[in-house]
Amino acid sequence: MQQLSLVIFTVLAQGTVGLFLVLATLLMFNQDAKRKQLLTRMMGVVLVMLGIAGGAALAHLGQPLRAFNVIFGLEHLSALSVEIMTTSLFGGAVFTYGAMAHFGILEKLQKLVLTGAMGLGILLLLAIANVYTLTTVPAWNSGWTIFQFVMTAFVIGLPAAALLLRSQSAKLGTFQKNTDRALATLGFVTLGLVLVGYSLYLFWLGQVELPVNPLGLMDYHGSLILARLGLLFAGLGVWVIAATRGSNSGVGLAAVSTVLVLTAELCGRIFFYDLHMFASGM
Amino acid sequence: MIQLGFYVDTAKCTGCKTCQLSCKDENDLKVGINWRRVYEYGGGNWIQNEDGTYAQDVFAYYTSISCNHCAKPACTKACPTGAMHKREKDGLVMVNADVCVGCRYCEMACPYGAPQFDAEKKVMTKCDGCYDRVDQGKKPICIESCPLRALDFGPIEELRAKYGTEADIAPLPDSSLTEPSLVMKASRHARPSGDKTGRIMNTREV
Repeated sequence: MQQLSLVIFTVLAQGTVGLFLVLATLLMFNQDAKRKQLLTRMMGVVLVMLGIAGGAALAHLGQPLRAFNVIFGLEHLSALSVEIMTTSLFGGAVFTYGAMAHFGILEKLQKLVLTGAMGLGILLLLAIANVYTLTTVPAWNSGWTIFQFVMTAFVIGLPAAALLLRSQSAKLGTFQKNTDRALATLGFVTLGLVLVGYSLYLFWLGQVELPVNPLGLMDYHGSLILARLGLLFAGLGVWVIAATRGSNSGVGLAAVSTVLVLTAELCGRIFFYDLHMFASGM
Repeated sequence: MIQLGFYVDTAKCTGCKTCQLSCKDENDLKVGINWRRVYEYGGGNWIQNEDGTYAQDVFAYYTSISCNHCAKPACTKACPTGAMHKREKDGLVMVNADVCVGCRYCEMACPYGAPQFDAEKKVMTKCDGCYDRVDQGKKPICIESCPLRALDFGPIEELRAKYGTEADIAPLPDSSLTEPSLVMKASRHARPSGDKTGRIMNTREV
């Protein structure tokens, strides 16, 4: 598949934004210096994930050495240029906050930088969706693209954040347990939203004016759609159910959950890219 | 500004693809890169007569399409580098191969399939309206090679005055999307854009 690198980039970037938003929210309301140090260290994971996503995006370019040329596209507000710039600015802001918090630079400005990074993260989710809502591509040009791209952030971000916090459960104490319960509640709401949303999306897809049936494009699409829904349900389900029943520190379970939802979203995104076609069939 | 454009007569075109091949020859295009493509659009059904017998209404016609050098190109809007640009001088849409990063986003956006990726050079390529020939007062090679004289090229206003303003013939997309600099003549079988009764028959060629 020609767009595999884009599948990896979009899913990882969105998941990373989700993870970052959870960690940043915790940091916003945090008063404890030790906890801040631990949470800040977790920002390293955000940067590594974003780095892998960026690498995948670069791998998609025919001429990666000319990547800086994308600055020129800002002149006519090319959706792709805006997306790439937002990714870079988001990464830069996360890095700046991480460095400031780690070295204790300008204590009072840190939360301002963090707020800026959160804003950029949300903009990044919208900027990625904006690249694909092309008027000439009917299966992409809808609010469902935005819905799916934003939900990926929640679907991956929540269990990934729970996993990171669980890995430090000994040091974080009750704070981790309470956060895990809160995240699991959000995870439950997310699961409900995506299972209903993705099913409605498939219904919508069935009635888009297209030259061929979008649900029968490739032989493997049936299994891909089922795998996505199944993995999503299993991934979020095992973590949410166990967490709401009082199991809030098992690292293994959260890790399995994160891997399952990541796989689910990759399946969903492969299906999404396969849908690229023009109304004319040309 | 003059806007150059193409005229395609689907009533004359027999689908011989001389235009496509002369373009490949003139521009040394590799296998897999087709700046001009000939789409065979066909369909048909069995129609029941009043006496219970059946007759067929099979149809097929050809549309030879390269780049329509649109007034509102989807490709230039998408391009993140400005490599895909529209010339002030004559409205031709060109790629600056030294600036292109090979992201293929223009290919995703153009509903006519005009941007053609060069997998060896890793940059986008496309019909340049044979601007060098046009500068010498000649017409693009596809126009001059057409044995049926089904194609024409020139300032779009002149083409429209001469041939009309039709540009919405299947399998082409709705012309309001990109406002192509294209005039089509319908054959007697021609279907409007958005038609569902036929399909592109030669998908592996285009």
